[in-house]
Amino acid sequence: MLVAGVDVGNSTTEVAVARVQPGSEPAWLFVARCPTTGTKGSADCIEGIAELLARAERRLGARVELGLLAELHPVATDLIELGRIEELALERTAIARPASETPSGSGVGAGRLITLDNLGGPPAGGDVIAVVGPADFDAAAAGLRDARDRGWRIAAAIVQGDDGVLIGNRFDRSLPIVDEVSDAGRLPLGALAAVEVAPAGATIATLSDPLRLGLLLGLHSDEARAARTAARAVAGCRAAIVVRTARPTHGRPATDSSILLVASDGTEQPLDEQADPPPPGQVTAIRGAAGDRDQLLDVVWRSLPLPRDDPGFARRLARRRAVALALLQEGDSGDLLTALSELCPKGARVVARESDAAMLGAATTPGAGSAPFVLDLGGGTVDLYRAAGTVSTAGAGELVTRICASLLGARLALAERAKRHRSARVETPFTLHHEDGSRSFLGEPAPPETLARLCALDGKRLVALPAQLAPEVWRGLRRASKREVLGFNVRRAINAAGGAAPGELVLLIGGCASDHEVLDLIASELESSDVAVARGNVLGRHGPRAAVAVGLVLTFAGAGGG
Amino acid sequence: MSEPLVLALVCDAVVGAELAAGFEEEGVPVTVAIARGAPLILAREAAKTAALGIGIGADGARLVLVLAASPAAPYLEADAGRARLFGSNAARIAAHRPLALG
Repeated sequence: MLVAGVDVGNSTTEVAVARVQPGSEPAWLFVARCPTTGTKGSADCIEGIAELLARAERRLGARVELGLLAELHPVATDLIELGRIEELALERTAIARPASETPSGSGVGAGRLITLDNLGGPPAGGDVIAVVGPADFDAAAAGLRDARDRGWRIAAAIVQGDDGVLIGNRFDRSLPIVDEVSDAGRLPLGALAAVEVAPAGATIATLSDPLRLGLLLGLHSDEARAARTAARAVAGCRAAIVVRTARPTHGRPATDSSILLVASDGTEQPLDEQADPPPPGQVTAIRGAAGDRDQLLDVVWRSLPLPRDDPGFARRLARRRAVALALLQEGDSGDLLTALSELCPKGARVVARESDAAMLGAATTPGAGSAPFVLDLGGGTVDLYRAAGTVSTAGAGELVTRICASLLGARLALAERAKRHRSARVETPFTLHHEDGSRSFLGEPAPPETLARLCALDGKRLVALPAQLAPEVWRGLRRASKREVLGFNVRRAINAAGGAAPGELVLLIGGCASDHEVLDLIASELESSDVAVARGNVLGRHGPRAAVAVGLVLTFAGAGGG
Repeated sequence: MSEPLVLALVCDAVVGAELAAGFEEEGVPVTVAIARGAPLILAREAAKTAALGIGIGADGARLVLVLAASPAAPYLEADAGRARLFGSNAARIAAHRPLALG
């Protein structure tokens, strides 16, 4: 009989198809995976399963007769990003942002925002910052020269197009001018603003200092938090603008974001970002800024890893936190079981617990025997499986991806590729600077969009990443993200299970375990416990993938296959 | 006259001026000369002469950039109407800065 073990994870759905006959070993015919198409365990997941079973049928020329599911380990996961709350609060007080790569002039200028057109009138007292819209650079420079001659005190300029240097060269080479401010036309005219440009290779020093910034923009002492947040937002940049927006309506001071953790005994306490998260199982609900959630298995928060030798960048990241939640879900596998039954002529059945199936599948790794600890590094959770049961911890591959996305300023799909691959910077059309410091020569010139950029090396393809980081720095941050999440949760899970005996084998399975970097990171994290950390190789050829799906078929065959 | 760092051979003075403005914005010197021919041929010609091995050719319609180390195909192309941005990107190639591609 043709049977399929089906494992639906938070990120990936896997199937293993085998011919099972009573009294003989299963004959493995097909193993494949696809992204999960719904919330884990819901009937929506059937779409991905159906696709995989159809692929199996095309390949094998026969239909899968029976579907096998695990008793779902009912965990859903969610991620919340803190730090945004402060940035949103800031918008009521000021607009702060880094500016273009080719500013003109240097120094700091502060004054009221005024358009180029309005400089045609009689000069007002006090310093002004000229806002140049889509005007031609020759005309803009002429307008500025004329205004200055008539007595306007122009302290700086903000330019919409990419011609700050062209304007500066024709007006005043030393005047700080930032360009490529695409929304220059929407800045609040008449508001106090400050512009700073540092010399090439240097970073701004005044706007990143909350006290000096506060003085320049006339921020009051009760707006100290806004000054701090604005200063942080532009720290480490070569050029920046900060504009004072309307004074916030009083009575609503920006409050600290707070999340309350509810323990199993009902006691509540605020989430302390500086402290380590409690062991899995201790927090059962949360309240507050991240929404109200009940029936939690685990809550984990990690701060973003900070680049030690880039203090400005480190400051911009410092207030960001990623919080991962693992929730116990009430929904059972009933819906999915019904849906799968309709796909298979002989129906579908639940044959094992997920943990038992995973251990059985992992044990097909050559040389592994029956490993006492199997760690499943999945998308949403790190699960520790052993005979006595399962420990689930919140935060795994998806949390790493989120952190990478925050560090790079990239979308999740791009961050996922950046997470999985080595990086290099395209130095010239023909040379790559790798993250270990080595250089290589390219036979064909690198595509123009990758030039001078940090790129992920996806096979032979260069995938440009938005962050301007040295490859060595990015490697450190990427590894730290994995260590902070996966290494941290592996240790928590093992501790929660009572620790591992010296010499014990810890077998890693799941999507994250196929990442070469992860084995070393986890092994070094567990160095002090003197255990052997190895990667699963299911059936000797599928790497750390499909352990549960294979384990389900093995369970079925072991029970007689009928 | 010493040989140019980057050379642009263009059929049209207006296109040449826009190219030069793009270079000026990036702080990279360029030599613009008037010449007649197909953009790719002009660009190859220019790349051979330019000290940085970067040559630009243009007629009234197209702009082409060629790297002397890989002259067979254009490295960058654009409509003549986008000469300023093209100049700025060509200058960024010379300065090893990331390009601004739409």
